[in-house]
Amino acid sequence: MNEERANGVPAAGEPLLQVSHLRVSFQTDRALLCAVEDVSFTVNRGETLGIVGESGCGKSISCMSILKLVQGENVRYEGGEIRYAGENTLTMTEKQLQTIRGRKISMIFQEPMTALNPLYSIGDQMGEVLKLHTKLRKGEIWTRCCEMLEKVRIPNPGEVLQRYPFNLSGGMRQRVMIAMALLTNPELVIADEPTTALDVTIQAQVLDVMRQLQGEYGCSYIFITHDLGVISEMADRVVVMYGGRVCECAETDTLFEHPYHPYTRGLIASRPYRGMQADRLPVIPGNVPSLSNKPTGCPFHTRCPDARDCCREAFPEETTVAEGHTVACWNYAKK
Amino acid sequence: MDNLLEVKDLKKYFPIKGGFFGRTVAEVRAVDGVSFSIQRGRVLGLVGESGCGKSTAGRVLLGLSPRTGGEIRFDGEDVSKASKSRQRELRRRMQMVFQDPFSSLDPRMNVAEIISEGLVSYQLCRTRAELDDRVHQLMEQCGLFPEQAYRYVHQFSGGQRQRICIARALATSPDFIVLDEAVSALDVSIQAQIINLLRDLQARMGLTYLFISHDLNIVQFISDQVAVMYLGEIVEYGTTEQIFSHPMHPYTVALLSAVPAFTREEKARKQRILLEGDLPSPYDMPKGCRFAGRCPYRQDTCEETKPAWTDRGDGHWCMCHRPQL
Repeated sequence: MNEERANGVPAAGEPLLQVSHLRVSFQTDRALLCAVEDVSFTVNRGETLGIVGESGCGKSISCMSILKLVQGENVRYEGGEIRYAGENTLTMTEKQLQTIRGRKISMIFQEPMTALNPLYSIGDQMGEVLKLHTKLRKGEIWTRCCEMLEKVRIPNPGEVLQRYPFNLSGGMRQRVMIAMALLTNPELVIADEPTTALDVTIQAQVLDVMRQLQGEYGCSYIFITHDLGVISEMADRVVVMYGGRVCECAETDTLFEHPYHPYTRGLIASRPYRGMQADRLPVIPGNVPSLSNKPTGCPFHTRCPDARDCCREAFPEETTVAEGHTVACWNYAKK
Repeated sequence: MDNLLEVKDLKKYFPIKGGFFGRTVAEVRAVDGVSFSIQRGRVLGLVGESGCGKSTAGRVLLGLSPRTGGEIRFDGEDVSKASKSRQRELRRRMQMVFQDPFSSLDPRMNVAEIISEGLVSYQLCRTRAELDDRVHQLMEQCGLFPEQAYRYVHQFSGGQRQRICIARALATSPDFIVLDEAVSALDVSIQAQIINLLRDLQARMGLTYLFISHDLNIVQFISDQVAVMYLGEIVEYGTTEQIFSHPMHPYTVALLSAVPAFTREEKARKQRILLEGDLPSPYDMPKGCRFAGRCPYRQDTCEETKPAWTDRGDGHWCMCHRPQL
């Protein structure tokens, strides 16, 4: 299965993708809105990197920028680089990008109903991926699609390939999306809220399939979600984002047991858990700021219980508090 | 026991029209013989997967869609036997908050108009000044600023919109509110704020809630009693403690095990039961137990006979041939 990857390619644990100081803005009539500001993270080979944050924190934009999927007249890639296999994907031409998109790095989107084309059968849509990226013949494409659907535990794959997206349930559609993303045996799969639209029991099935396939193919995942529970089950390392910035990054268990950043601490505390005896939930006061009136300095200072003067003036530099655990907060910044 | 709401054998079937004359060829049994009661001032959590009929049950309770059969008693009074004007009065005392705060508010009305609609309709305020006062008071109670009263909905964030929805529901001073996935569409940090608001309001006004949700952690935090629904039926009912600590129905067990583990301790303790397959289609219902097709403990009797709805002690009800003890 992994012939091409076996020879001469870095082994598990080495960096596969490095995003550094990424800055993405949107030009509007009134102002230039910065959605992603100085975001850096690394994805290692074979690991799952979780990205958590609330809506508008820039988690989807930073991941879609990896494949330059955020496009349009008003989009400005203002700085930073995304290093994949020694090259910067931000400076690649459309043609070069096509050799990576779907082939080396693929995506699973949140809403499988809108991500699949309702006018084409599942077989057409899955086959298209292979037609574009491989030299397989028609019959081979069909068998390969069948195999892949079986892998994601879809019964009667041959029959499903002839069906249309509306014939399938949400869980089935999402499994088709996963099968499609893994068809070309990519090195990195970006999953943007892959289970948010699903019920818990179906979510558990889908997560299980994803874990099993990772074991089989050795691919890396970037797992974007706002659900701390899902992150905690899936990710090896977690990046917490707020207001377009990375505020904390650590290994999953470390992060959830010893969170440093006040935002991470607030998020974890506000989550009800089984056997909780309190009358009220601890909350983070205030609202998620909108892009157009983002606070200066640390974007979290308006809601932070420990905010000081310096928080309003400048964004804190990243501080390493333990091995592999970095925090961007003035409370931990070195003097 | 002082039950505010008693529901007996509630049914809601949706016809499927087909054929040449648009005859009813089949029916979808969205809610099929559901019975429960909610005590005054308590919260009943209603959980289940999408399509199990939990939202339909909530809507039928309030008369938002007519029921096919069954009895609803509100504060001792049979809702279906009440006169039109009496029904209207009863409906004033039952309100609803919907899931999506974006589509459940009219974009062409400002906040004051939205909140005062019920007050005007029921003629609860005599003068304009009284109306304004009441609107401002409701906004303050729900954590909004009265000076925002003349803004339109698009100027608010999701959490604030949900506060407007809650203020609107509270306007007619109801006793009972159906919260249909009221926090599901909100961001994590905002969810906690809204849950606290709901609890505060409940304590202050002695409200009774039906809390419909698929998020088990939240249900367990807010509910006194929990009912688990599967394909139009309630399969288990008990106190929050009974359901979460000693679940009996295999579906409840599976549902609880599907909640992602959070801490290292939870991960270690957890045994995962993966359910096979999806929900069966609601117009082709199995003859015996509806869960039999996905149940890891099924036996022959499950597929043939329907299990009885029985009290397994201390008001812990379960519908299963071999409940897990």
